[in-house]
Amino acid sequence: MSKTLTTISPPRGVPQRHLLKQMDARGVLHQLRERDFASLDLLGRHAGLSSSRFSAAVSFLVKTGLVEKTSNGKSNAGRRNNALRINAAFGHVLGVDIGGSNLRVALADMNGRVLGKWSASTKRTSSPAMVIEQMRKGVAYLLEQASVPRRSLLAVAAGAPGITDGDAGVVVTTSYLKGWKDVPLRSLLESALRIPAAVENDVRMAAIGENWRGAARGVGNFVFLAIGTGIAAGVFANGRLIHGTDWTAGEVGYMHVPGVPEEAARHGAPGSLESVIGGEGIRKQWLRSRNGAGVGVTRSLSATEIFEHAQTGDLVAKGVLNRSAKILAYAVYNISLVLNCGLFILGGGVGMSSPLRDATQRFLEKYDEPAQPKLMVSSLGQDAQLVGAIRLALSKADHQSV
Amino acid sequence: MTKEPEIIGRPPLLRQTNAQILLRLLREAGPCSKADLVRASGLSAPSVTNVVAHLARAGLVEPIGEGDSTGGRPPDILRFRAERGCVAGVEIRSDSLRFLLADLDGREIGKAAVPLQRPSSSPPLVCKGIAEGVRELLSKLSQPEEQLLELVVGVPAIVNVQEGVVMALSALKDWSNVPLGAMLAREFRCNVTIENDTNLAAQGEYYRGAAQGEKNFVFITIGQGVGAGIFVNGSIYRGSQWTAGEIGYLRVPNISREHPTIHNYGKLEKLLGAPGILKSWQANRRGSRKHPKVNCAADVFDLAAAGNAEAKRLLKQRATLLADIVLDLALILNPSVILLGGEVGNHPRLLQEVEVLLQGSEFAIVRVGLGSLGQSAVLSGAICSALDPAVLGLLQPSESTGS
Repeated sequence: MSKTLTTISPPRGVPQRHLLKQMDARGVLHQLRERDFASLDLLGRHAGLSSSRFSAAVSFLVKTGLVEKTSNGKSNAGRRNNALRINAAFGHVLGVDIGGSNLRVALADMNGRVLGKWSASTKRTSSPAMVIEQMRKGVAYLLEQASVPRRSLLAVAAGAPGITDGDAGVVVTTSYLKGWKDVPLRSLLESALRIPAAVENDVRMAAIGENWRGAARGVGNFVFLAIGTGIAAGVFANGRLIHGTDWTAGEVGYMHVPGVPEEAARHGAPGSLESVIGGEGIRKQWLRSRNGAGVGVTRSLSATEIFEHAQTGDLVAKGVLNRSAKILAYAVYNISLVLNCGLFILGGGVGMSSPLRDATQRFLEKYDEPAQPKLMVSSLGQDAQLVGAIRLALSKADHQSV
Repeated sequence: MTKEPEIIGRPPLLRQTNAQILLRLLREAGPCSKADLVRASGLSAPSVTNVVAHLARAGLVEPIGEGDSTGGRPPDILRFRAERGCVAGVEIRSDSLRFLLADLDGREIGKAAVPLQRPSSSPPLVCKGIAEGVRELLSKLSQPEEQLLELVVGVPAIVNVQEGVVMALSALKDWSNVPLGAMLAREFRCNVTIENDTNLAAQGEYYRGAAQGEKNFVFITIGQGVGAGIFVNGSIYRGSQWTAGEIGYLRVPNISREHPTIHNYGKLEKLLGAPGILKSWQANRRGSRKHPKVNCAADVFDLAAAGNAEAKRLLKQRATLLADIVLDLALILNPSVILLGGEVGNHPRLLQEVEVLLQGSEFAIVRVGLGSLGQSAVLSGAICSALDPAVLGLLQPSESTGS
């Protein structure tokens, strides 16, 4: 009988007392991060702990130095409420955004306040080793500018433009950077900076950013849809990111909706959807329609410029905008049917265009049932990834410190 | 909806978590001694003693005599009392009600089915039918009604699970915002859960069927309607308004191309579902006399397998639609497997065609397979999802002292 028992992997037992206190403390800290600043009463209620466990967790947190008590809370019937806040100067974190053309680094305090940003081109220096070397220079520059000592750094998080295995810390593949295949980015960062690191796909990183400080603040179910050269989605479901089985959830650039070519594209070529409404696809639509309309010499415009043209009454541009919006509406609608999520945040060079958002929303309003998703343009814009990276780095730092 | 604060580690809850750990061990490994439980659970011996006493008080565990001695005093062997209570699963179909009663191990004790005619399908009558059906089954099996701990009902509709409300059901008349949970709670003293049938079928496949061990998978059912049950990180994902997986409305390319007259996209469901397949078949039949007669959609696919050209064309068309659905699901969710079920969905020829079509796809490489529970998937899921709440209910101090 005991033989059969040993074949089952033992379930995780209940944590010992001190582990329990640590768990409580992390829970309270997490609540505190969601609200930036909270009265002790409010926090206690949200943490769902008994009052003794709650105060034990609070004193545990205060002892670490990461959290401090203040009496700045709002007065409640004459009595001043004690409040907790994160000690911003406890340490610092780094957020890194590795893009196809730019490398960006931000330095932030423990409240996530950005103290400095730095960026460099990755056009010529795209190998993993070169990017890490560049980033080190950026970090040194930022530390010096902000007069922050290196030992104050607690954690770093980096977003990469490709399929990224967050558990293993590996960038599996990306078509935006040359020579990136199975790059152990997390360990590269850890050995370059000698602090704990976390890595995540750039679109999901942007979703984290929007969920923390952007247009989807505090929303548990939403999709961040990045439309630039390619198209990809970062999906929050029940307050957590969906990664899928092989870390490829949200690769919607290959979706089949009415109006996209269905011929199997070559591997590495743009997917069906992005070949039509990605930045390049839209420019091709534009050039084709202009030439078809025989309007003489056609200037090459970016997707955003084409959409702005449509606003000024250019009929060809209007046609391109309409067609793109219609196809985007199909994609948004299909995603919202599957996930039943009511909010889509549009980001990326093409996605940030308000004419595109408006036209797409109008198409969606024509569909009467059963989904009626709402579209919003990203409020963090280009910074979404960096903000997300800072948030992820803060989580990492919190976990290390408590 | 405000999110309930997650209460972790309060002492009564701690004991319950421990109780669940020990119960799981006893259920999976069969009878064993306290010492075995200490070794396998990683809990301390006093904790195990404490929790076992708690379980025994709730009637969930009993000693069954002494085991083999390993030198000292022979240990007491404990067993899980699956007969301590029972759980019932009910499946509402467009034409029938089906019942399954099981013990706390999820083993079937008995089952029944009653036909559901159109006039008797209004909410109060269905509620009455469920109550009578469950009571009849209980008495036939000589189970007193107090034995029934959980009742889970699967409905072919969008369901607000939290409030037990059937939001919209197209297969039956007069079903819109029906508080079926509250109606049934007046009939029974046990907990009542109302759930979408496809979500239950997905849970059935997860606990007992082809999706065991798959934390991220999708179960697509194609029968009278089309729907999907989505598992994300080991639990069912219902979406923000309970409608996740309503794939019957997806806008995929081939609807309009193959059927230029169809512009209403809710028709994907009407095309792909069994009635749509039969309708297409009959429409084509008028033209030719040699067209064989069929009784159900699966017959059409059987004819395709036997080489009938018209049936083959129809099968190919439906497979193309399904392949696009599978592709979209795979891209959005990246599941480890997508399972097909339902009277149309579980036809092997359809799967075969879809697999061929997906081989041409450039990116989403997803495993597609058939569910293994067939017609019993919904009831299996209902029973499996009832087991943990049933046991937890027995461990709650308020309930055990209440009666």
